[in-house]
Amino acid sequence: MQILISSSKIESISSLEAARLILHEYIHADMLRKLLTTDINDIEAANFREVYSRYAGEQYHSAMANQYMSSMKEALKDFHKNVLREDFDKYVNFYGEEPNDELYEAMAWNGLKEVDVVAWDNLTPEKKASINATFNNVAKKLTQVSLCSK
Amino acid sequence: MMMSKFKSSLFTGCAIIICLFFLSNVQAQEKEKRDTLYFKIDNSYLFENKNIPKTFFIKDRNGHTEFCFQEAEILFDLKPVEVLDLKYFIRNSKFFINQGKISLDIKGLMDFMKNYKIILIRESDDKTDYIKVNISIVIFG
Repeated sequence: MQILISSSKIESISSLEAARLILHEYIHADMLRKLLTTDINDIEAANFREVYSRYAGEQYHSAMANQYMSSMKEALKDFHKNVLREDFDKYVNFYGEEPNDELYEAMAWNGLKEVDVVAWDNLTPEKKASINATFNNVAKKLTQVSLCSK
Repeated sequence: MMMSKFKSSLFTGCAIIICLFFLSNVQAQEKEKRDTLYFKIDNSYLFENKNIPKTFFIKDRNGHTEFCFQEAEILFDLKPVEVLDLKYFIRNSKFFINQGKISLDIKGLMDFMKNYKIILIRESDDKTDYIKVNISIVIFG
């Protein structure tokens, strides 16, 4: 199994969004691994298959939203603060406070906001609007590396 | 500049880790193959991706997740009893879903294909290659 990331896409998004993209695709791969493995001792995979079987049809993104949202949010928060420290400090200097959880949740939803994703459809219009506003107003303003800075 | 270098190294590192992680898993799942299925490369439905050498994709996919064959070795002088049309084979199978961006049950197809030895046939003017392949998945981000 391979994950291929578009270099042109990576160069057009923020570093944290790039991390989110890799995380999103990695989760896809891990979900497929759990669905395909024949290792009967892999309890985690067996549990995942049990939960996934309750979804109707092909619902990878719904499963990801329901089962991985919290982990994705925490992973992005941790990665931002501890790995993308320069970007994190710039945010704090600009806004005068550390990013809140809503930012990381809004980022985690990116790639899952599709009409056929039941978990997204089930959110209230107010919640969807809040997630979109946070992403458009804050997440898109995180440090982006342009080709000119290379 | 530092961030750019960091991103570059981050992605390289992630790609290596991911490949190693899944390589070991895929190898662990390899088992004795049984019958052989022969499919002809028609360069339309089944085609080699010029950007990813020795990897053959099909037109049907599951969103941005794609089923593929990866070349293992070239064999010669095989005498297949029957050569199958992969498009007909898949489109008339339970693995063909045809729901918008999702047209393929990749898990179902993987589960089916892993029970067979797969040979792709590539014909050119002067020769015929029999390409033994392994099945795989590529996720495009």
